[in-house]
Amino acid sequence: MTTDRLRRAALARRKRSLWIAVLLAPGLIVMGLFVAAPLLSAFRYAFYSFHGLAPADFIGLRNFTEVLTEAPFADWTWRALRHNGVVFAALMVAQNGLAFLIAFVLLKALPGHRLHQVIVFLPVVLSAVIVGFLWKLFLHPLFGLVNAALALVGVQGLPWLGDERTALGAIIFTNAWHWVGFPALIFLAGMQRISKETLEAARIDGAGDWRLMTGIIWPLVAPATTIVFILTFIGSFNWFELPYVMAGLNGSPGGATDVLGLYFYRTAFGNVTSGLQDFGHGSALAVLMFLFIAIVSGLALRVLRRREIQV
Amino acid sequence: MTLSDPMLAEVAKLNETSMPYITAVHFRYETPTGSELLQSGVQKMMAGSMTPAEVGASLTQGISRYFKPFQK
Amino acid sequence: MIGKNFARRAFAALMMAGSLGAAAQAGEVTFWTWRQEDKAAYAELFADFTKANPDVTVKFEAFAVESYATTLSTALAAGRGPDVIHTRAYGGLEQFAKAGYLLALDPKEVPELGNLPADALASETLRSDGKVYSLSFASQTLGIFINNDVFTKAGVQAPTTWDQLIAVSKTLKAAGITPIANGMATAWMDEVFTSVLTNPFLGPDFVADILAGKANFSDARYVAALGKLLELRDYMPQGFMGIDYATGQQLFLSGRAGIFVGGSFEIANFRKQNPKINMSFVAPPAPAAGAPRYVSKFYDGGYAVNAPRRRTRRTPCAWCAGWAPSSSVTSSRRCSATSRRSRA
Repeated sequence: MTTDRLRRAALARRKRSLWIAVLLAPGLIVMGLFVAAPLLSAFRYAFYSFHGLAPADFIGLRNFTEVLTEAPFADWTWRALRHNGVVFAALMVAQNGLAFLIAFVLLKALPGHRLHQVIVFLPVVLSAVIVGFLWKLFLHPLFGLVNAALALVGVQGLPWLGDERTALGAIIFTNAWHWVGFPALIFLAGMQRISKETLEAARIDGAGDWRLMTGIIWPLVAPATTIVFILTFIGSFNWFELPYVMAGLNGSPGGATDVLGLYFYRTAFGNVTSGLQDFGHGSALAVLMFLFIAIVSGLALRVLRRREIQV
Repeated sequence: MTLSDPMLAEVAKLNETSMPYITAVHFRYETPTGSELLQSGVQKMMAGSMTPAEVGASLTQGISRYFKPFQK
Repeated sequence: MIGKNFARRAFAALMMAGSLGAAAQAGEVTFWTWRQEDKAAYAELFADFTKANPDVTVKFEAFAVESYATTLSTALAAGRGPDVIHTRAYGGLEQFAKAGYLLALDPKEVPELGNLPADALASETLRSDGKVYSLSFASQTLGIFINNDVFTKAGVQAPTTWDQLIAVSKTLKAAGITPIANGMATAWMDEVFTSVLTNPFLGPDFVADILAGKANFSDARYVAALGKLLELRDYMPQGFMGIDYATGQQLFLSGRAGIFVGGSFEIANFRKQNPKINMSFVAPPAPAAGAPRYVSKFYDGGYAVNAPRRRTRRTPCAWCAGWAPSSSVTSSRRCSATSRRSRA
């Protein structure tokens, strides 16, 4: 009896695992074919020199040392990395800071907050390509809305996307406009999970908005902050669509908006109007970007998670 | 077959006094290409953040990676 | 690029090695290009070809210009790709030829090669073995477009020297017209702009010196020529650093600007966008009166044969379809004669 039951249980278990395997297989195959395999081949190509488009000789780490230490490639790599860093810092402070404030205001459920919630989130559903194109038009030095508005108050606007000092900032601004609703929503969800009692208790103890926000809410939304931080980090260092649409593959003007995504793309896939396909350097860049993002996000996740536990 | 289009005839006439589009014709074979160096250099020059001499030097330096005569 | 009016100038269907007689091997030949806009013209060309070779049909496939090279290199790396390939020139050709994807063209099998000027052949030659891998299809000339109506209204003439260019620009600007339509936001156009305006100051001697290693780009001639461009900043659109290629074209086409620095590939497009435009295409200004006004010239691309595919499939009719460069009168005349012969 018991052995029979055991056997039946084992059979059921095996059936179950088989069933799970069947369900997992399509996903695994797709991932393997379209994610793992290209990744591995990029890893391999990074160690080869190329004869035109065909891999030729194994050259060890030379592609890596060239993009990291030899002019002019190294200048471009570090410049792009620096710009990615600026983008990340600016988005963390401006976009996500603003998102936090917006979430806090929405939490207060003032009249009309539902409409505001929709308005803040609306741009997020647009594609980055459309947003980039729109803002490129708005920022146009001759026909753009922004400079037309400035002219009304007697200010001569800059060619925002053409000026080395403002071009990257203008694209970061566009990113923030496009995306602010997303971190705001994550923060709002985090804030809504804080129990009403906690907030009321703080109020009764005489905490004002500022104290409430910094002393109670900020520590309690730590899980949301972790998610926002990691997503912003990955997004900033993989930044591609917006600068591509707004500044072109070369990161015009003069590389002032060049970021790793653009640099990798034009190196590996070639820029029709100036460059060649350089798979060796391109693969090396891809591998470096992958390692950098994976390692830093892994570390950041550990540190930030620990912060959550402490709370 | 003759060029009935006056504008294309104009172009054919202009070609009698022509010279190569230098960076594209001679320096787009290896990276960094002369074209990419010139494009970003000229943008910076026109914006005032690079001098003509600096643009010329960056072209020479970049191209010297693969063009022997510049490796002196 | 090749304009709309080129269709009949086709010198197509040039048969290649072992295929002229072996056209018996019927089948379909595929052709890849990045020029979707030429589809109708190609259809006509292919129809003619099939009429002459009833057992061969041609399949046309066009790809987006930005992704063409990537799509093509991926297909070739996987041992696929079309039979006949529209290729770029210079380095853009070399990366494919070097990898062994293209068939070296034998002048005996492709007599059209003999009709091409030396610089056209050089544009499709692999430097390491000196063989030609693609049949050049169009040359491009870079120069200056003048909006004649704008010039007439302002009472100025197309400039022939640099000083005249500055003087004309001053007059136009005083009349409220942007003298030069170009901006700097589109990187590749900046290379065009630079070449057009600096080449008359450099001359072919400078190129010879560069290639011979007697000069580099720090040469005083080159630095001085680049410096001349700075004088034009006052005569370009307001905020020119943020003005892209498309805006520059619109400024010129709408008559808000008088001069557009560009290439012969603009002609067809300009006419399509503004059929009434009264423009001329002239050489850039000379450094001094009487000095030569060099236009800049290059080749755009050509037609090549997929080598591995031809070996395995024995492409029934590995041919190169081509159109005469819109600007080279002689070769187009000769080639159309050849194509009539081969069709007969």
